[in-house]
Amino acid sequence: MSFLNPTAFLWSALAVPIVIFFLLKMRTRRVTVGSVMFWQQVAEETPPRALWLRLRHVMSLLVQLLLLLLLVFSLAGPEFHDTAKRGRTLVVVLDTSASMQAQTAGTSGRRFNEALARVNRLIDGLNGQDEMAIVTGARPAEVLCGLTPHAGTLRETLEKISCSDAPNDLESAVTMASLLVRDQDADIHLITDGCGSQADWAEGVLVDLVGEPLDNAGITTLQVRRSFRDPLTWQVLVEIQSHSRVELSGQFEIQLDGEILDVLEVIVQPGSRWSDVLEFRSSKGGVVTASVDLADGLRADNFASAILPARPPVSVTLVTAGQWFLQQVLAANALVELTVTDLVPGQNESEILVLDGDVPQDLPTGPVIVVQPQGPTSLWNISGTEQTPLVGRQQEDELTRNVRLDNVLMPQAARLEPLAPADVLIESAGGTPLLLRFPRPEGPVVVLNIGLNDSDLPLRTAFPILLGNTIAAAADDASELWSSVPVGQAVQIRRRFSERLPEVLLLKNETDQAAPMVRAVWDDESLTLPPVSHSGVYVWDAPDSQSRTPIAAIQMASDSEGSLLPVTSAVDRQSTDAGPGGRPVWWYLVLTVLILFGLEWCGFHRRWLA
Amino acid sequence: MPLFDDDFLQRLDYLSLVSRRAFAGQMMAQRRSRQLGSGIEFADHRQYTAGDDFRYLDWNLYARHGELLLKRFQEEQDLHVYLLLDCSCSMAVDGGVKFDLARQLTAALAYIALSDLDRIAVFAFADGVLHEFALTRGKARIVALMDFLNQLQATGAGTSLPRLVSEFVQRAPRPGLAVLLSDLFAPEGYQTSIDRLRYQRFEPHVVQIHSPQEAAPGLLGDVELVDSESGEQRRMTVTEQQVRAYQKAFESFLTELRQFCLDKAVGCSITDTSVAYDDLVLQMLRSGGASLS
Repeated sequence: MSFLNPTAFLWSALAVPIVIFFLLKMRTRRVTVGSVMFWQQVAEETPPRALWLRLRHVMSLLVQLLLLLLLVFSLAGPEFHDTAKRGRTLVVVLDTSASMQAQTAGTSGRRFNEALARVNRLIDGLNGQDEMAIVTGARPAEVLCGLTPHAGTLRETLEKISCSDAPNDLESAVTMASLLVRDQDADIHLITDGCGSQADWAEGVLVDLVGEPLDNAGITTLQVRRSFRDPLTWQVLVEIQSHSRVELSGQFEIQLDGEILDVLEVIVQPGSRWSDVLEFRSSKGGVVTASVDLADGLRADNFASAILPARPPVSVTLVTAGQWFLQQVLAANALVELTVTDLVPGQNESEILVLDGDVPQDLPTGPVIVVQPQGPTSLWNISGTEQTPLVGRQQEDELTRNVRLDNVLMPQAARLEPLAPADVLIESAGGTPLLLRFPRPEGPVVVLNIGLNDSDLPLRTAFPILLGNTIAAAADDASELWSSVPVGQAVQIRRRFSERLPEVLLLKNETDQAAPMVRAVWDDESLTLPPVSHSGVYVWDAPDSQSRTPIAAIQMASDSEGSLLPVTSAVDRQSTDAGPGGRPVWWYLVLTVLILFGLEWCGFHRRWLA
Repeated sequence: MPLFDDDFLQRLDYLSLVSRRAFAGQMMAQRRSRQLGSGIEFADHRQYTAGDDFRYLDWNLYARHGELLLKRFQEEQDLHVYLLLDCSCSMAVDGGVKFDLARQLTAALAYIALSDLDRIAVFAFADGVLHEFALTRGKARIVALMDFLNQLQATGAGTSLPRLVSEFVQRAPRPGLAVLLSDLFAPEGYQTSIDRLRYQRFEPHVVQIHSPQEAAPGLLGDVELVDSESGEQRRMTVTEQQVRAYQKAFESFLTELRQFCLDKAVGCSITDTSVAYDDLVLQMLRSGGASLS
């Protein structure tokens, strides 16, 4: 055993005044009373004392000297040889993933709170030569505090740590911890609930498990998209994964901007997945929120959100000599505000211009759809016709989604020769482009090189779908999936926004006010979000308006975090504690002093023993 | 601070007035005696016998009935009040507060008695009568009495009530009210002494005075107790349990005294030194008026 502060033994000199005061105290106080006859009566009633009671004064002095000895001993900082030779190096890997939000069975606390308490105990056990670092294990793993012997810094760091909604990445965290103490004899303390991580850890990683196994089920998928058939219809795909050992049931509710759209009764079998596709009809956009009230261990994964973009109407100008099918198909599209004319406007004032047959040499700016062009333009030339063309190649594209033109009868098709770079989406076996797209800087041009008057295309269901796809693509409003974004991943969102966005946006979590702001980058086509740690709907407050624009919905959609059944086993950590119970030796010495002090005070000064 | 100052005298006057108003006809002085004599209040007739004083013949009756009858009158007697003041050492403990209160009470009671034309005498005692203020009457004597009381000191030896009573009954010219002001911390007890006073046709009234520290001692720990009168020493480790036992014993002592006085129809006042003397006098007069009258 050695001592960190041997000079503290100088305090032993306090024994001298203690003995002096004791001797002074031993001088009996002389009190003159009116009569001792009452005290005589009392003395007669008091039983004779035991021998050790007569020696209690000496015992009191011995106890006081023992108190002083223990205090001096604790001030001297005793260290056992194995820890005194070298300071310990600890790296605490604290699991801050979503599953740590689960309630601790039988208590009102969370697993995370219990984990914090254990880290605090480890900090309590540090002595002057020990060092500790703290690494968080939620994705992305971070070193929050490097190796330091200062308990205050460690505690300060600990106070700033909050539990995130992200899945864990304990492997990365442990690797990071190993790199931190490379070439050092160090202990890595992994404090986790053991859920969603590997079962076995390398030697030297001491696993400290918190929490009890709990049954849980959560929403793992929430996706919304506009229907391909009907521009106003939108669909929701929802999946609930059970990690429970028992059957769970509850009500599933779906809302759009707080308005309840549907409520379903959900029964999730143990270990199974429940999924459904729900269909709604609305041009309005907003935040789609799904929730299920299951009596399970983790509440955070019983909610999910996704953003449904609004479908604003598109103004379309149709220039035709009277093509009835084309006019009716466009008029039947609920999103299209149709204007029919027989003259090509000099300037395109509508959002989309549809030209039927006649085309000017220079096409107007903006998105243009050309149906069966009759003449050359600056983009293409016509070099004859191909009789009874058959579809030879069809490229998968947003325009050709759900469209097959294999069986369409076409008597002839003009041989178009693109003069500018073009995407030929459908091509005849003879090499005539039947559907092609010119991606102009001033607006795309889509050419449907199939005659509507002499083919049976207008009679096919493919025709309204193809035109709908074309209009949606021209309006930059494809019916792509809009799913909620998982926590802990950087995402790129490609979406149209009605507001003009700045290059850098500060997004606020509307669902979780305590979540930190997120800095997103907008490059006129897509929005890039860094990995965020808290789920919820992130909105952008325009500085010059009161409007709040939902930008992204981040969801705790993780199969691994939904399971609250630990897969990792605990590894005994007694060997690294400074003393029994994780306390240093001086702590026990002081505790002994306090107990002895209490006994001495009660026994001698309160005279319980007398 | 002097024991008897101007304020004290004013309060005595007030006490005297209050006692007369409140206890008219019940007090010590101006009381009828059973003896017939030369008073002014008619009591009875009796047959004239030779040698009787002619001045008391009822001539009106003789004129009507021709019979010689002698008028008899109720004789008025003044009361003898004896104040027995304890001057033993036990009265001097705790700063002498008990002795001060006892002297103030003595002066107050004496003044009331003197105001009512009674005779008073003060006997300072310890193991016998130490000093005596001879039987006297008249309010003017209160100053001399105060001087006497001022000169007294509680330095006497142990309290011996039997010796006090023996000497007192020999010195008292005639029976009267005997007010005993003491802490009654007497090894020989007080019962036989009070009984003897009663036997000698005195009307005893006991005023037991103790200090708050005696009723509830704040002693704890190792102490050496010294008896102020006998000098007896006793080493004790006083515990809270023993303090409680002491309080119980002391309370038992007072209860026995109260019960003894009740049984013997003896006036009794028990007080601690926190009570003002004038309040105590009024309290005594109210509770003990019947016995005092």
